Order: sequence, then C-alpha cells, then structure tokens
Amino acid sequence: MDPASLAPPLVTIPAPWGIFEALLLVTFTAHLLFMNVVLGGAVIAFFSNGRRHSPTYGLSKTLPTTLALTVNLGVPPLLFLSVLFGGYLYVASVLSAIYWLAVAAIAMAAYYLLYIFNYGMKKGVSRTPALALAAVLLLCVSFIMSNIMGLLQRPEAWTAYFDTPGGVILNLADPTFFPRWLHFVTASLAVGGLFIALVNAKAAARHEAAAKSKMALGLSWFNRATMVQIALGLWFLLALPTDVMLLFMGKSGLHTTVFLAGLTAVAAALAFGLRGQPMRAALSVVATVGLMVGMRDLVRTAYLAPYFHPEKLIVAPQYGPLAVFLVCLAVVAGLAWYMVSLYVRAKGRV
Amino acid sequence: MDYPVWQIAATGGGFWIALIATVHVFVAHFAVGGGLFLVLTEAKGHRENSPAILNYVKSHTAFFLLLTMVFGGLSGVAIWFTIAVLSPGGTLTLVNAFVWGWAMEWTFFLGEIVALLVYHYSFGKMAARDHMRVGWLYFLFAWLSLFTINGIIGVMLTPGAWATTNDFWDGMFNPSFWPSLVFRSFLAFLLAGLFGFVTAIRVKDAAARERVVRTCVAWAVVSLPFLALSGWWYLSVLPQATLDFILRGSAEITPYLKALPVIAVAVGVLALLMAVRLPLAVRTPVAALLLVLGFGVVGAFEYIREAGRRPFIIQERMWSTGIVPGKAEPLADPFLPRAAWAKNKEVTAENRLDAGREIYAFQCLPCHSLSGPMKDIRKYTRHIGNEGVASYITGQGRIFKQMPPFVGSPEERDALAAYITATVNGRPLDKPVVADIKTLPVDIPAFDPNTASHLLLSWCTLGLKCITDADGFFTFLPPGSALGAVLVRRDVLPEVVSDGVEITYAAPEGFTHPSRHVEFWKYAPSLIGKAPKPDQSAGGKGMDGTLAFNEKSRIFEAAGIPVVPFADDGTINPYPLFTVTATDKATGKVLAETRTVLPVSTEMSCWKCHGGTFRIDGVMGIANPTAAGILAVHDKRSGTDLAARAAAGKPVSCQSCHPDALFDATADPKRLNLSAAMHGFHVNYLTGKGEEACANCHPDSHTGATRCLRDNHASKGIGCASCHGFLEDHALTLLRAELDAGKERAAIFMQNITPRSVPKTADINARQAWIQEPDCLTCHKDFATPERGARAFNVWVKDRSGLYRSRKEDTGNVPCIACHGAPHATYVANNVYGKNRDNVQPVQYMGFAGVIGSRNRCDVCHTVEMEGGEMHHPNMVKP
Repeated sequence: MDPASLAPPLVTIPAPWGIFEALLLVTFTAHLLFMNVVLGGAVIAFFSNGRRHSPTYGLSKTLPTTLALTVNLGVPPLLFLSVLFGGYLYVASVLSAIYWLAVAAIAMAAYYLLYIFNYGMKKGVSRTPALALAAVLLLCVSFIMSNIMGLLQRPEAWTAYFDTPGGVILNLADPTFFPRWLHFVTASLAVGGLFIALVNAKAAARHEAAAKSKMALGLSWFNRATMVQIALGLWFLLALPTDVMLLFMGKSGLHTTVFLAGLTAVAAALAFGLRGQPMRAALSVVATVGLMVGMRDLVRTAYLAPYFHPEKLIVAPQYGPLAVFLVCLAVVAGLAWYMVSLYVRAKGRV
Repeated sequence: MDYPVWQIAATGGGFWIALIATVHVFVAHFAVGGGLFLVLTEAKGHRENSPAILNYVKSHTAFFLLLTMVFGGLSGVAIWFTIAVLSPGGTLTLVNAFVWGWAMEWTFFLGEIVALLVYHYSFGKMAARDHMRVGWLYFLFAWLSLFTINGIIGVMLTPGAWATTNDFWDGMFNPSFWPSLVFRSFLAFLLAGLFGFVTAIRVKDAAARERVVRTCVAWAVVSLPFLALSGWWYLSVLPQATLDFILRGSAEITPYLKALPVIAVAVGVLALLMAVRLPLAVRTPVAALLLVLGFGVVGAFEYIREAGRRPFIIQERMWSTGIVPGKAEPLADPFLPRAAWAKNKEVTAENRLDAGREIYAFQCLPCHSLSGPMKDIRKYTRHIGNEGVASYITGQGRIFKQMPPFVGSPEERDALAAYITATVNGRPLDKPVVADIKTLPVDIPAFDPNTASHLLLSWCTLGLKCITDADGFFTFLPPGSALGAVLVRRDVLPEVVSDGVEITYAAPEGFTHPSRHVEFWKYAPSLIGKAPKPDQSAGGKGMDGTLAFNEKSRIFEAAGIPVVPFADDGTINPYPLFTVTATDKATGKVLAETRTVLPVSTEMSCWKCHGGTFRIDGVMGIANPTAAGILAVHDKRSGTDLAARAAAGKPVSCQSCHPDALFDATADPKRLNLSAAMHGFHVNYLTGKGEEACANCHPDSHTGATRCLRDNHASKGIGCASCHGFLEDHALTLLRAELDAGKERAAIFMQNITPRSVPKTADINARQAWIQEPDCLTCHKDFATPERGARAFNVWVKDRSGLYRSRKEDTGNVPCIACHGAPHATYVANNVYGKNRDNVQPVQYMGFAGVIGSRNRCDVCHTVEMEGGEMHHPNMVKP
C-alpha cells in the first residue's frame, strides 16, 4: 500500500502557517526547558538523595510546581502542532493509542508521587521509592512522546496498522528513535543539573558551603551530560536518512546554519558550564534548546516532504481572535508576574 | 474514514470519553466554584477575625490544589488526548476553527496555576489584602477558562450561525453560550459547597466547624434553584429539533432527564441535613454521598448534552463516526473504496467478514463496545441474525436519530451484518426458511350438469387470512375468517336463491378445535373485551355453522370463523377445505354441496428483527421471545407499558390504540392507523428490497409454508409490486392518506422514503387501507387481457363498494369473486398443497380449473346454450 494514500486530508486554518510555526517553536522550547528540569531534576534528586549537601530537598519542593508548569506549557505546542500537523499527530496517536492515552495517567501518577515525596521530606521522611518511581514514570512519558512524535513523521511505518490496529505500535524500528530519545533524556539531565546550579548560584556566590556544593554537583551533571549529549547528537544526526542528514551538512543553507548555530550555542553552554558560570550557561542552553527545537522541526519537515508541508493548508484568516489571544497572554503574563512578585515579597526575598 | 480507528473493541470509544470527561468536568467545575469559595471564605475568616476559619481555608486550599491542579489539569489534557484518538476528524475541526480560543484558555490555565500556587504557598505569609487579591485572580482565571471552553463545547450542540459563517465569534457566542455559562457557573458553585464539606466536617474547633459547614450548605442549597432556572433557560434556547430529540426522541436520554431533578433535590435535602450538628461518623458518609450525587448531577447533565447532539459529534457538520454528511449518499455509494484506512476495498465472497470487520471499525466502534459497559453491540444484536441486523443498519438514522445513517453500499451493509452476526455474536448466518410441504388430497364433490338443480359457489372473502398467534402478548389479527356463498338455481335464466334454503359450513376433520393451538380464547377478555366460548368467535361463529343471507349484499355470509392453520394432528395446513352445503329448508333435501379453502396463516418473520424463531416447526407462528421483543421495542420507542401488561396477563389488541378499517376500529383517531403504522415504520428498515420485503411479514415467501400468492398472476410472474407497489410505494400510499388527515407522525416515517414506482412522493395517490385497493380494471381494461407489463399500482378503488370482493357482474347477481376465485387465488390457482386445492369449484362444475363459465361453459348455470356473451361483463367470451 502506498503510504501517501494514508495522508490525512488538508484542513483549513485561521492564520498563515508561519504564525503557528513560530508559536509552536517558542512554546515548545519553553515546555522542553521545564520538562528537562522536572525529568532531569527527578533523576538527579534520586541519585543525590542522602548525600551531604544534597539538592534533593530543594528539588522536592520545586519539582511538583515545575511539573504543573511543564504540563501547562505542553498545551500550546500540542495545540499548534495539532493545527499544523494535526492529522499526522492524530494518526500516530491512534496507532500508539494505548501508550498515548497512558501519558496523562502516568504523568498524573508522577505528579502525585512528587508531592508524596515532597510531603515526606517536609516531615523528615525520605520516601525514595516514590521519587524513583516518579522519575521512571517521567522517563516513560518521554519515551512515549518521543515515539509518537517520531511515528508522526513516518507515514511509511503507518501500514503496520493493518496488522496491528489495537493501538500498540511503537516507532522502535526507526533507526533514529533511540538516539533521539536518549538525546532528550540526556538533555534533561544536563538542564536539570544546570537548574540546580542556577538556583544555588546566588548563595554560592555568598560562599555558602552547601550551596557551593550543590552548584558544583549541578554543574557536574550539566557538563558531563552535555558531553555525552554531543556524542548522542552525532549519533542522531548519522542515523537520519542520508538525504535529510545532508541538508544539515551544507546541502541547505538554512538547515546548515541552524545546525551550526546550535553547535555553537551548545559549545558556549559547555564552556560556561566548565567555567562554573551557570547563568551564562543557562542563557546558552535556552538558545541551544531553541535551535534544537528548530532543527527538530526542520527534520520533521524533511521527513514529511513527500507527503505534506503546512504551507499546503488552506488559510481562512481571522485575526481578531489572534489579537485577543495575544492580549490575554500579555495580561496573564503581567498578572502572573505581579502575583509572583507578591509571593517573593511575602517571602522577604527582595 | 480519513483516519485509522483504534480497534479496542471491548470498551468502545464512548466509554473512555464518558469516563474521563465526566470525571474531569466534575473536578474542573469544582476548580471554578471552589476558587470563589476559597476567597469568600477567607474573607469571612478575616471579617470574623477567625483563625479557625482561616486554617480551614488553608487546609482546604491544599486539598483543592491537589485535586484540581493535579487531577483536574491532567484529566483535562487527557480529554484532549482521548478525543484525538477517538474522533481525530472532529477534534481537528474544533482545533482548527477555535485554535485561538484554546490558546486563550491556555493563558487562563496558566494564570490559574500561578495564582493557585502563589495562593497556596503564601497562605498566612502574605498580607491579607494581597492574598485575597491572588485568590480573586485565581477565581477570575478559572471562570474565564470555563467561559472560553464553554463556547467551544457549546458550538458542538448549538452551532448557530457558525455552521454557515465559520466565524470564530459566531461559534464562541453560539446560541447556548450564555445559558450554558450561567448553568455551569452555578454547577461550579454547587460543587464548591459539596467539596467544601470534605474538609469542613473535620475542622477541630466545633464552633468554627459549624460555621464553615453552614457556609457549605448555603453554597450548595442556594445554587440549586439557580441551577434549575438556568437549566430551563438552557433548554429553551435549543433548536426545536434538538429539544425534541432530548425530551422525546431518545429512549436513552429519558432516564437521565428524569434522574437529573431527582438527584438535584436529593442533593438539596442532604445538604440541608448537613446543617444539623451531627457526629462525624454520620456526616462523613453523608458528605461522601453528596459528592456521589454531585457527580450524578454532572454526569447526567453531560450525558444529556453529549447525547443530545446525536448522531453528530458536531451538530450538522460531522457524524459521531467522523463521517461528514453530504459527502456520501447513505446506503448507496460504496464506503470502502473511499476509506483510506481500509484494507479491503470491495466486498467479495472471500473477504466478506473481514470487510465487515473494517466497516464495523469505522462506523460502529466509535460508539459501540463488545460486551463493554456502554452500548454493547452484542446486547443489541445477539438475538437476531444477519438479515435482522442488516435491517437495523438500513433503518438507522431514519426515524430515530441517535445513530447516523449507514454509509456504504447494500453489499457493504450485508458484509457488516454478517460480521456482527457470525464473528461478533458467533451465530450461524441466516439461511432461507424452507418449508417441507406435502401435497394433500383434494376430494372434489360430485356434480352432474344434467341433473343438478343448483350450483353452489363459495369463497373466502380474503385470499388469505392472517392471524397473529401471540395472544399472550398482543393481537392485531385474531382468528376469524369470512365465508361467502351464492346459490344459483340452474335454469334457462338462472336465478340466485335467497329464500327457503339454508347454507351451512363445516370444518374438515382435525380443524374443529383451534383453541388447542392458539391462546386467543385464554386472553380474549383482555384482547377484545369479550369471552367467547372455546373454538367460537365473539359473534358466536364456530367451526361449523350457518351462513346468513345478507339482504344488502344479497350474499350468504358467515364472518368470524376462528380457523387456524394448525391441525389437531400437529401438522400445518394453511388451506383447510371447508364443506359448504345448501339445503332446502322445507324438505331438508341437499340442493348443492361444494368445498372451499378457508386460507389462514401466521407466517410473519418478526423474529428476524425482534429475535426468537418461528413458533411451530421453524416455519410458522410468532414465538414468545419474538412477541416479547416486539413489545419491548414498542415500549421503548413509544413509551407504552405493553410488556408489563402482557406479563400481568393483560395483553392488548393493537387496534385498541391504532384505528383499523379491517375491524372498523376507530380507537384513537389521532394515531396512525395500523396499516400505515406497520408499513410506514418498517419500510424504513426494509427499504431497497424487492418483493421479498413483502414476504417478511406476509405469507408469500417462495419457500415458506403458505405461499399465498398462488393465482394466475403469480404463474405469470406478476408479483406484489405490480398491483400494490414496492414496500416504499405501498407505505407511502397509506402514509400520505394519514398525512392528509393531519397525522404528523406520518411525516416522520415518510421523510427518508422515496417511492420506487413513481418519480416522487407527490405522485403517490393516497389510499385508505382495506377500503381502497388496486382496481382489477386498471390492467384489465374493459375486462380484456392486459398488455404485457401492465401495472395496477397507484389507481385505487373509490371505496369498499369498489373492492373486488364486493363487486358483482353486470346483472348485479353474482359477485366477481364467486366465478373468478378469491383474491390472490384467482382461477386458475396453483396451490402448493395440491394443485387444485383452490380450484375445487371449477373442477367440480366444469371438470377443469378455470374461471366459472370459461371456455363457453355457460351450461354450469344456464340449461340452454347461450349466445352473445356480454351479459355479465364485456369481453367475457375469449376468442
């Protein structure tokens, strides 16, 4: 069967695709950063629990909140991805339905486990199994999401449905799957470590021993994970179909530029990390993640090129609602800032 | 069909969305109302300077956060994940049309999270005024989130102008937006009160506890009347068709509709009970019960709202199967070639079941489970075979709107029915019912044309009388056949005798005890309001008796002879031969004797769709499970209690409600007459068939036990449709008459039926059942032999006087039926139980089977040779 015959129908969207694309890239970058903190943070919290100057207690307070924001920030990229690639995403979700539907339940379980761990820490009880399970569950979520996003862009793999219609198809046969997933997981460890370094940076600057120790631990995770990350990235790149890979090796100016910029950003991040400058490293990491998200999007576009490009979508523009959305976003952001500042003031941190 | 279908048959799609959505909505509304509850109760705590109340609010906030933010937030995402899998097309439509609405809602969701986290983590640490501000902001964001989602959800039920404009704002502020928003807001406040109890009853300080518990009571109780009023407002803005469907059109919605106010009142009563100072051991289960009941309110409301837009996922735009109406002509265009995700592209003998499986996945699985908790397909179909299932598929979406019409060709429909029957239900596929019929001897009485003084012609008024032998459940055709006779005194100018003679009839041996075979006499008091003696009709006619001379028709008649097709020896015989004898009253001398069949049958294949089997020998009779199935569906669809009445031993006659000219039953004249109701309803399920559709209910199957169409038309291949039209035509003739009589129900039955024998419904000539039938002279113009292909359909006799069985030849003495034979058995008839079983009189009087007097056999009556031959009707003498 020709996979092209399985291509979902084109839909009508209410603004030019580029607007959604931009929103997708920005919001997904934000989601990834928070996700990395939660996943990486949970893993590091587990491995460093019980050590002297362990960051685990601090993380136990932060992780549930960060997960709440991760979930929230997962909504807009999923929404904008649905607008641009909805048919492809939903086909993949049907093919992997069991796993896809489990995501929310698994994430919810991880969420409650993080709270259980946090409440335990407050009482002075170390409920390590809860933390370990939460970390494993979050890894499962990343595994599933990585699978489905990979399946989305491979219509040639969709024909498996005809023999396996029960929603248990995974994208494991894709040679890029494991490097891709490990790339994300390792990034989480790096960002999680960097997050620890960052939140302890101020106190470390005041030469508080515990903070310094935590910062060093965080940076150590960041630096090592980033080095592994570079190797994994290379594996991922080489695992790509040759014609896609070559786009990043000079065949396409845009692709190559984004790739080189990403490499530069990660090199800078690593350099700052090695020098013990978490804030600079963090800024570089934000740039890196943004560029990697862009690269990931270029890879998806290249994979789907024989079948689809969002520019094919029919546009029936209506900008009023877009404007209202932007106003809402600005107002909510302003009020969120106001509330957080009230909180910070209340804690006497200013 | 543009997307694959997740083939998890056991639960079906609907269960997951119902479960996740209802649970989410329950918590999400609490998230809104609870926000206002928190900030107002905190204000109360500050106002009353009560640390106990503030402590309560603090602990309630923790509970609130863990429930609404973690469970509420992720279950909301889970809904999206779920609908994406179960209805990708519908989800994408909503995503693309309302992306900025979803995006706005996301910003409010973000605001909610930040506000709630700040509110929770700063409780008692922040200045009261600032903390209250954060609380108010939380409620504002939560309510705005409801505001936005409410618009998008509402458009699925009431698209309003959006359906044509596709304008975002038309969709958001759809017709049900405001009432729904108000309703949901009060629902949120109600739930805030109910959830409030969870923590309130555990407050340690007794005085503070009672204060906060009473606050919760007030929230719950005050919300209820507003909930009811806004619910009323909500219903009032629904389009009439949607409202009708919700209030009357769906048997599945009715229980929820009835339950909702009951649950709401129970919530009010129990909430008031909480105001009483009771021990924790009592309050805890009451609080739990209140939450369960609150969940019931949410569940019932959401079910009604979701089910109310059936068969659409988005009203008028997309069916719940994800198929877009208008893209395909139901029950015509093949589906599989257009279904991208179907492996089989056409139905063949080899792939029939697998093709059926695929069609099932696309068109049934979105709602139906396999032995699952919701809409279990087995529950609906396990009692019937594939023919019945196919009929249901044909009928879906026509009269009852909860299902969309089947999209596909008749072959695909049959493949689907075969899959459901053979694979899902594990039943063997239907095979034709083939009756093993043995020829019965026909004893023709003697007749000597040289000596006979009289000629006795006798007939059954109906070519075949049907009975419904399900008397313990219902009847619409009790036993009771009519016999007619004329006695002709043979002469140069013969005359019809009316005086001085007695004409009697007698059932053949083995047919004298019908009460041994059917339960009519047991239930007659309930069915017809009379208690006739066994084997007698209500009018006193038994299995033998006398024909009375009717001065008006000038025919000897006996009506109500309760003959049944079952002989005492256990055999089936739909054609018992009765002996009719004319005797001189004065002398007692037998003047003439003949025999005629009193044809009777009960060969309605109701079981094909209503379950069960034939009652007798697998070829005849309505079995109890079948009859029970019929009553169950009548009760479900028409709100009757027929099954309960039957169970109580009080079955009813269908004519007790439905008018029926056959019995001159007027009953409730506003209802459809029985013929119109029966044909009009069932044609929706049997449309698209040939004359085999007739044989499902009339004893006309070519392999059945009766084979009632046995006349000279049948032998020439002229079937039911030539005179009565196909089932669609036939039903429309009856329905049009009822529509003309102002019965709106007829329009519902007619709306999806198109005529077959005329171009359009407007060309159908209305007629009254049993009063207006086809006119023989439509084809037999001037009594001549018709041209090939002539059709009698759509020309009806004016009234009863024009019926074949009422009409007489030109001298006005002899009925047509006397010489030509009974309807559907006109001479030369060919009865499967014996060639001449219906031809006794021609053979007796002329020595051959033919119309009485044919082949110039005027001598059967006239004692001299006759000339001319136009005396009785034109073209009498055939060259």
